[in-house]
Amino acid sequence: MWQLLQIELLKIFRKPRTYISFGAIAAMVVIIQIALKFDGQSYIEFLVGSLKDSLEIPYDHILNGYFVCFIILNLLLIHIPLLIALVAGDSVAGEANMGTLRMLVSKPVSRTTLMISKFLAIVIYTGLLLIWLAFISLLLSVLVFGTNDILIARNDALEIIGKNDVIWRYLAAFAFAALALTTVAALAFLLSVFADNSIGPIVSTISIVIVFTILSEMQIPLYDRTVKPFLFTSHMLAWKGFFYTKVDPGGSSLPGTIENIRAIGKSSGILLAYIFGFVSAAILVFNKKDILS
Amino acid sequence: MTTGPTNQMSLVTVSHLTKNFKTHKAVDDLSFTVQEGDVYGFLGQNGAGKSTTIRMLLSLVKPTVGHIEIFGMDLRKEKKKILSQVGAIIEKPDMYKYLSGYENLSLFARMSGPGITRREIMTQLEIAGLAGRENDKVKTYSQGMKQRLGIAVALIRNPRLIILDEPTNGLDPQGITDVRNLILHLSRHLNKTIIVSSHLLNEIEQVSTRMLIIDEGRKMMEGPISTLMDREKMVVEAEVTDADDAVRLLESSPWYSYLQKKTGRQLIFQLPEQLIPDLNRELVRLGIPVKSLQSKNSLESYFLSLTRNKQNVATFTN
Repeated sequence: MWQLLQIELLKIFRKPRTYISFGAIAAMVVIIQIALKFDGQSYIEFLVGSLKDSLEIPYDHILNGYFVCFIILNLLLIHIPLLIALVAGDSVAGEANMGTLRMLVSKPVSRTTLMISKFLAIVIYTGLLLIWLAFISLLLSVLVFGTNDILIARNDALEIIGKNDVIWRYLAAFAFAALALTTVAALAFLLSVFADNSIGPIVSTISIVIVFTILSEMQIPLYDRTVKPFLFTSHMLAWKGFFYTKVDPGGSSLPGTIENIRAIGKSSGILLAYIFGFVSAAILVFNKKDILS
Repeated sequence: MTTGPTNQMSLVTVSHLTKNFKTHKAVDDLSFTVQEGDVYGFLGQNGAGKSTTIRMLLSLVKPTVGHIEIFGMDLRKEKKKILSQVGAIIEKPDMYKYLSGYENLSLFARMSGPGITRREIMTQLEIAGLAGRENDKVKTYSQGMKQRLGIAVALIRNPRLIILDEPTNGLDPQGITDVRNLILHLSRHLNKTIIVSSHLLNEIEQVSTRMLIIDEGRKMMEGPISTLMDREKMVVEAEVTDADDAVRLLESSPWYSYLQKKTGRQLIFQLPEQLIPDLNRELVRLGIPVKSLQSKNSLESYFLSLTRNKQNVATFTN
């Protein structure tokens, strides 16, 4: 298994396409950072809306590295699944298209082991992409904007988390984001088994994520209980829960607390179930598949 | 043409193999045996079922019905053990174009198990004539170089059985000669058992010890090349002006028993080589206007005549 995993990682990281994702993330993050550096005040005014008059913290305190990172994650974690699909959707279908799948399957390796190795390699790729995102969105933002308390806008309220209470929340949020992105990777991996070129699974994954995201965001009571709780996209943004704290009777955030840890746990469980379901189905289908490419 | 060793054991036994793709029957009740040391030629036109059969031998395609035994083991139960002793090229050997030749060879060798050294890989690359280009990406290789790298991948673990599906596809004449010489070298000097499929019949004729002809998934003929090339079974094509009239005239003649079939203006006979002049004389004596008379003893003549007559199923044995 270790040998196969090394081989799969070599294939992923020697392929130029892999680095599109890293480049795209870097470009987007830097563009956001430049915009906030030069026009951050306007963005904050827009963000706090009608509450700006009651805001007692100076804008230059609000516009710090932790806050910028939160903004970046809010904007990007919806779109990064598309980049994950580029690699995960290519994993089996790309090999079929190149003609290397028949070379792989005719080797003395069980198809199940081969598939597990491929998926683990995708998980590692996803993890590295998130580490890269964390590096440039958190570390670079802290270097450029400095650190301070973080202002979180929730519905019609503002929440302030002390700067000493932030890092662990980011670590937890990135860990949760890894789970969410792995779910998308597992979906692309499953679709990849059915195709003989990678365009189909990549486009299908992106389409499913977009449709499910729209359904998750729609405010239609009929879907609130019947559809939304079962869509993985409804649970992918639960990372924000790590920045929602309990408050004391005076309305101040309580350090080290999470408002609804059970909701995050439930979302994690649902995403894990999706991952298990998608990967199991992919292995099952691949084991029965005739390799004709 | 080579001759096979004696006292061989069966290395591959295929029994009643059938593969259906929805309504299409790609392979139909196919049975054959490959002996140790054989260069087993697998002949058929495009779409005859060769590649599907080879893919079933490599566990790429699952049979609908039938049984495959390799090295005395059931392929379904002992797939890993069997495939660890098999090297194969399936159609054109596609590689990872963004990796070097060395990396490709190393990657596929490691998939077959641990313990491959850089020296072993380099030796194989030298045999394949790729030394000096081993660090170049495969996308810069010519078709012939890719084919040689594919053969190196098939041979890297010193397999007991080598399966080559259309190994000369896309090669220039020199490349075809190189592959032919390599097959002969592997067979004669390293005593490898090889299954080689091709639609280039002359190639098969020159390297095989035994062969199988299939058409529409069914076995048309199987046997040693020496038997198939038997001069007692020459195929003679006589072109006449009116085939129906010629058949009517022949019916009362003892030569009628040699007539295999008629197609358009041709009468096709099968008879010993020494009787061909007598057949010629008899046709003239019967007043049948013969425009030409051609005899063929090559495998190609067998192949073409058999695939034209798909009902003619025969098996030759030692």
